Amino acid sequence: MRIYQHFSVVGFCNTYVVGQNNGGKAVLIDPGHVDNELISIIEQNNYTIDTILLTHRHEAHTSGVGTLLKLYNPKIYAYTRKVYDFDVTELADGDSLECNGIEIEAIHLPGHSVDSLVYKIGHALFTGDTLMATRIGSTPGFIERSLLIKIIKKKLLNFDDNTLIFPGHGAPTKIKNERLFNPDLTEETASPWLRNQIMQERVNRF
Amino acid sequence: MFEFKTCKKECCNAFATLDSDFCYRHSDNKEALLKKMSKYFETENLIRDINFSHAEFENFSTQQKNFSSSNFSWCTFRNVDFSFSKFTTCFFDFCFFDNCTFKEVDIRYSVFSGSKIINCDFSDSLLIHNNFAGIDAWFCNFSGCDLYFTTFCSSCLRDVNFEDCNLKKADFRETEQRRLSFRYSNYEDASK
Repeated sequence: MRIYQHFSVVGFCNTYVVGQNNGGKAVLIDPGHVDNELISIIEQNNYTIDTILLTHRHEAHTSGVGTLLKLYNPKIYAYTRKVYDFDVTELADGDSLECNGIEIEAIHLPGHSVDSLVYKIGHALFTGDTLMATRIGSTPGFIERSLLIKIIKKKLLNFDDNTLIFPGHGAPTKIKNERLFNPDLTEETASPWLRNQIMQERVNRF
Repeated sequence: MFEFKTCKKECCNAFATLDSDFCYRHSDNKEALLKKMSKYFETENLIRDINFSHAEFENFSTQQKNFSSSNFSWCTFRNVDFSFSKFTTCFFDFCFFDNCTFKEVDIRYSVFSGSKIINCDFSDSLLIHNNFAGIDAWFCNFSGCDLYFTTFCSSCLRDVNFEDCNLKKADFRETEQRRLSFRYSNYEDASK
């Protein structure tokens, strides 16, 4: 299996193309913006986009859907029935689908938006704006933020330490790295005193 | 991407290495594996879909290579020269880098999180969309680098130079900083 990452300068969103080593039908996650670079990734690897997975309906993650529909006529999957003008197939928490031998599992994690989904493919999680390297997604208020932290800990941090995370914005990461270094996730578990102690211990090692 | 096949050893969750059912730590013949890997580094220009964690590499040069979709977590690199190489979606988390050279490298979408980086030179490199969260960096040089969207969050940075760098969308939150230089860099554009 291959995972290609593409950075869209419109909306600063990461788009991922997941396909088999020898080409064929592929999955595209969060088409933020379709440009020549993304088309090159698809075409040079002999892929045809069969499935589009949307992590949530924000424009930065969906504005390339129309162009891809014209080019490849893929099936679109998201949590809600309609994303802007496009009809999509609804996915609920725990639903799974398959594309060219690639097994996909949907995990519903509301907080950043009510329709946020995380997709699990093998040992990789495509988290959209729910969990990014050293950050969690923005929320409309502190109650939603608290809910998001709780649900990330419950549903994502239980995965194996080596599980790879490919977020909607920024660099990739792993579950262990987020558990240890994401200040948004450690702030509730560690008291300020304990965090200072840990930091001081690291300083003293130098 | 490297194969998501975990080591067959009980209670080990590391990924299995090179055509084997076990990770490097639990393989029978570590020396042969290391030799095979070192030869692979020397002969191949494209190092792709490799999984080789917990290994120790010392005193060699892999200049102008193309590393892609590979996992080298928990490895030790001493006196290794990666200059002019390209890294895409590579995982070097919890590694130990001592006296390594990354001059004019192009590193994108890669993870160095939790690593200890001592006396390493990353100068004049393109380090876009990388994860350096939780690193311990000591006597390192990132001068002349483009660090767009790269995070150093929760890191300990000592005697590190970030001179003449692009720090747009870079992240320095929760860092412990001593004797850093951000001369001629746009530190005001970074998250702090």
